[in-house]
Order: sequence, then C-alpha cells, then structure tokens
Amino acid sequence: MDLYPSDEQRELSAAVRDVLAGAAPMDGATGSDDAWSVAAGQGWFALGLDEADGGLGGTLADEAQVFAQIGAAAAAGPFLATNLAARVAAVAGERALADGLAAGALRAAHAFGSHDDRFTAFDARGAGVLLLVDEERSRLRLYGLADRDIVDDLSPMDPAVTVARVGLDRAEVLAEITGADADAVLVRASVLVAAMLSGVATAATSMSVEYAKIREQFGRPIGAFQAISHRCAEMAIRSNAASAVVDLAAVSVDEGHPDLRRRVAAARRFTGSSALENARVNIQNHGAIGFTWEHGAHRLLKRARFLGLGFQPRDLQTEVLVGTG
Amino acid sequence: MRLQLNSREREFQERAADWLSDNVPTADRPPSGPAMVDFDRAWQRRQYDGGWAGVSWPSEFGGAGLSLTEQILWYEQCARFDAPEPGVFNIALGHAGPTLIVEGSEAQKHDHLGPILRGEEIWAQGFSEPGAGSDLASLRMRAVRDGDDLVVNGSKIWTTKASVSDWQELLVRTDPEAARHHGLSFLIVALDTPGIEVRPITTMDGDTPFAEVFYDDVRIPLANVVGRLGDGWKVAMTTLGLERGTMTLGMVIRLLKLIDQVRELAATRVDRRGRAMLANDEVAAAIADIESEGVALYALALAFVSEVVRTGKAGPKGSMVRPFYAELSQRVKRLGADLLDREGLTVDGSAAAAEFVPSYLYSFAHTIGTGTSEVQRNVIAQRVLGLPRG
Repeated sequence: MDLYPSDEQRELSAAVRDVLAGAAPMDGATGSDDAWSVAAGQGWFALGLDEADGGLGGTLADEAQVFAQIGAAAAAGPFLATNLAARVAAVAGERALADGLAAGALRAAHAFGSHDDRFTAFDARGAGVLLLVDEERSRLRLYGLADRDIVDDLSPMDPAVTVARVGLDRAEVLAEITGADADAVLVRASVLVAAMLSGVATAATSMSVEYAKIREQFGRPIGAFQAISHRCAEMAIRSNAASAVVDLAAVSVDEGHPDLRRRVAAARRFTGSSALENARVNIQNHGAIGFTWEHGAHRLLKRARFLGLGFQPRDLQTEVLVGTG
Repeated sequence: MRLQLNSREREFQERAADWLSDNVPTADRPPSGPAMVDFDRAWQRRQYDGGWAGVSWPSEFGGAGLSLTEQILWYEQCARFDAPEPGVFNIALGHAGPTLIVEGSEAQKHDHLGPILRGEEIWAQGFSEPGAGSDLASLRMRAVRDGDDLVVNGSKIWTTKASVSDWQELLVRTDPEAARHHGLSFLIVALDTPGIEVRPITTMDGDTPFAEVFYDDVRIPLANVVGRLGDGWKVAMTTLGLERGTMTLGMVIRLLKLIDQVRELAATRVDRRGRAMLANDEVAAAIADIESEGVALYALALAFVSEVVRTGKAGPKGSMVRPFYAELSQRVKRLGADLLDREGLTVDGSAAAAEFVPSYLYSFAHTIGTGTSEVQRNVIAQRVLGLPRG
C-alpha cells in the first residue's frame, strides 16, 4: 500500500515539464512543432502501450504523470487524442496505424457523437486521423482524415485547440473497437483527462501563490491578507487532492481493483470541479491583469472548461457514482 | 505506487480482520454517562488482552512494537469492521501516550503507557483558555515554582472528557518574561489533585462533551514536567501531525461509510410526491459530489500516510487532510439531515432521525476543534505555501 510516486515517475514528470516549459510557454506561443517531436521522441504516445504492440509497457499511472504536466502547461496539440488513437489502433490490430500514431507521425483529431455525419471536431487541421468517440454506445472509431473533410473552421473558446466542422461522408473507417474493448479505453481516457485537469488545478495554485508573494498593495504582499491567503490554501487542498485521486484511480485501473470504475468517475468529477474552481479563483487573485489575454490565467480556465466537457462529462459521472447507470 | 498489500502487510491485515470479526462488541456504544465510559474501558482492555493495543508503541511498555504501517492498517481495519472508536481514550492514545513515548522520562513512560493501553487511564487535554483559543500561544495560565513543586492557578476551557478523565496534559506559562511560544511548559496532572474543579459545558447538541477546569493553588511535582521547563510548546507539538497521521485513514474510511449510508438513505426514501429521491437530478448530483469528494479525501489521506511511512515525517499534506475532512464531513451530515425533510425536526422521532440529526448538530464542532478552519488555512498558507504572515 503506497501512493507515493516512484523516483522514475517523478523524473518522468520533471522531464515532461521541462519540455513543455521550453516549447509551449503560457504566454501564448502555442502548439510548437518542437514540443510535438520531442514528445514523440520521449514516447508520450507509446508510453502505456504493451511492448508487444510497439509501446514502452508503462502503466496508466506513468501516463497520468505525463498528462498532468501537459494539463499544467495548458499545452496546445492533440496529445491525448493521439495517445488514445494509438491504443484504439493497437487493440483493433491495426499495427501500422498504431505505429504511426505512437511515433507522432500521424496526429489524431477527436469528436464526440454518433448520430450525424457532421461533427464538431477538435484539432482537425493537420490531423491524419479522427477519433470518433461514442460514449453512449461504447464505440471508438478511427477515420482517415484530410483537410478536404473540413467543412468549416470555427473559432475556439479554448486557444489550446482548433475547432472545425467536419463531414465524414467520404472518410474511410480505419479501425473500430466496441463493447468491453472500447470501455477499457474510455476508462483510460477518463483517467488521463482527470490527470490533465489536476495539472490545470495545480498550475493555477502555483500561479496564485507566486503572484501573492510579489504583488504588493497597501504596503505589503497581497498574500499577507487572509482573503487571498485562505483562497490559496483552499486551492492547494484541491490541487493536492486532485493529484492524489488521479494517482489512486490510475493505480486502481492498473491493478484491476474491483472499485475502479467508481474511483475513476470520482477522480474525473473531483478534478473537473477543482480545475474549474482553481482557475476561476486564480483570475480573481490576479485582479485586472488576470483578465487580460496576455496573462496565462485565462488559458487555465479555458482548459478547465474544455477538458471538463471532454471524456465522461458530469451526467455520465453521476450515473456511475450513484449507481443509476 | 501500489494499492495492493505486500505479503507482510496482508498477513497482518488478515490477522487483524480475524480478531476483529470475533471481538468487535455487538452492543451499541451507550451515548453518555458511566455506561459509555465502562464500554470504552472494556473495549480498550479487550484490545490489550488480544495484543492489539498500541500497535506501534514500544513493546517494553505493553505495546506491540510494530511499525507505523501496521498501526495505520490496524486503524483502517477497525473502521472497516465498525469497531468502536477510542472514545474517552482519544487523547490518551492519540496524543498523551505518543508524546510521552518521545519526550517523557523513563518514570513517566513506566507510570502511564501501560495503564493507558490497559484501559485504566483516561486523559484530557488542557491547552485552550478563555483568552487563548486560536491564538493558543497567548495562553496565560501561570505555574510558579515552589520547592519541588509547581503551583498552578488559572483556568482551562473546552477540555474534552474532563469530568471522566484521570489525567490531564497541561500547557502553562512558567516564564512570564519570555515571549509567546517560549516560556511554556508541558505538565501532566492527576485530575483528583486538590484545588481542581471541573464544570461541564453543555453544547449545542445538548451533550456535555467538555468542561471548563479551574485550578486554585494546585501543586504539581516537578517530576511531572514533560521535557524541560520552557520547552512546552515543542513538546505539545512533537507528535501532533505524526500520530494523527496514523489515525487518518481509519477516520476517513468511517466517513466513506457514512457517505454510503447517506446514498442508501436517498435510494430508499421517497420525496413528498412519492418519487424516489435518487431519481431527482439535484439529489443525484449532490450524492455524486460527496462521493467523489470522499474518494478524493481517501486518496489524499493515502498519499499523506504513504509519505509518513516513507519519510517518517508528517508532510504538508497532513495539514490539508484535516480541513478537507472536517468540511466534507459537515457537508455529508448536512445532506443526511436535508434528506430527512421534516422528519429531521426531531432528534429521536425515527431511527433515521436519531442517526443523522445529532451528528448534524455535532458536526459544527469539526471546523472549530483541533484548530479552526481559519487557523488550518493560515498554517497551509504560511508553512506549506510560504506566504507572508498577515
């Protein structure tokens, strides 16, 4: 019984943080190709795949460390969709496709839904594959995607993604998994989204704490005022708990714990509300500067909203947690 | 990271589970009075006879001499088996004993550790004063040296279980010139010493869990000073985080069980229109929220105790578990009371009312006792996050 990250996990976490700090700074330079190629080189997309499938054989808990840092950096780029698409391809037995995604040579866009043939897709520009997610029917499909499938470019609320309307009438299905296979990938997706959200919550805490130490008003640092310092303490409780519950959920999946679905839903819900609340409070703690485009605070808020509406949104969490699903 | 137990932990856990399934009392704990005290004494004695009292306490003083991991697993198993909590032995087991183990003289350890583990000594804490609550370091109660004794005058307040306790930990000012945290000393006092008067205080739930204690020229031998004169603050704080740490997981598991009960309440009751409460989206979302917070608290507690076991120190997460636990516990109990609707307007009108209404009323203590939520936030802000003092 030990929920203390290993030395290797901490090194991994620090390595990812360094890559993103250099290549995707919070001040707006987003989605650089440098970060993507370093990420691919470090195996961020292949980390959790079995060695037999061309992966590195890491655990979901290892992957969660990586994605927490991606969330914390508010990094642009389809890191999560590409990681998941590689797994879908591997499970479907499409080895060449899996290899291309795992190596970062192919990027995956993603979209949610099932009924139409028009979808709002994220990060579709420049992607070679679209991961279509149908949580209701437990189906995950990979479509070949090209720019000709893009019907309309939209303006994203979250600057870390691009949004487009795509038509899939001409797109080819490259791989599909359903049922228990799809559920297993969706559970991992929830954990990794939760990890990214915990990173957002943690980054907001650090940003507020650092600012509260240096910003002076009324002749002293604003962190000396309880209105600010207590909010920072609450942020720290939320981000520490968010990070712990992600680790708990990830290890529960890795070990096949009987309660894993409930723990994953709990992690997903807790990190979602913590990220949103910390990002909100972080803007308030910064005053007017926090309301500007130039400052990174809004990026965390927008990440929290985007990711919060991603895999396993609130109504699906409730079904698992109260047992009505 | 791993959640599965290793073979040593599993073997211990199985032994603990076997013993608990045979020995946990089947009768409910009486809510108050001498019957409650007898119940707690009997349960403590039973654990001692079974070799389960003081799992991590030194074996030369009657403990089992095992590691912190086993101590944590023991409290965890007790919670899973709904074993009685330490009750009136809370301070003795959770603070006084552990403090004596680290700071006590050989004579003090010999005199008290065995009796505590055997259920023979109940302890109270005497820290807060009418003028020193959150600002504990401003306490004023004086102890003046006279020969081989200290003579104590003044009063303490919010002393839990004072009227049934045999001994008390007492934090007093022995050097009036020294500032705040300095000049305090930590004493142990027999509560039947002449000059001590205990006046119970009735709390908002109608109970009398604590008291104000008055000291009128009470003579305490110097041999009862723990550590050195003037080191009282350090002595009082020595084991605060660590020992609480080992009890944390058990405490959290009991809260998770209460959350299950609240969900069960929502699942089995109908609203005023006759519909299942859980079918109401608002109720379902509220249940899902407390469930997810419960799992998050469990994870934080597990991360905290993992750190305690790995490093032997109570790290920063320790100061976060307490306010999270206290505030979630309050929300859970309030939701329980809310689900009762008008049935919750009595404290004894139904089994559910008796279960949820008194605990709702008591829950207001969670964010006040052992440091108010505001003080806990100050501690996190200043000591963990490094923010400046106000």
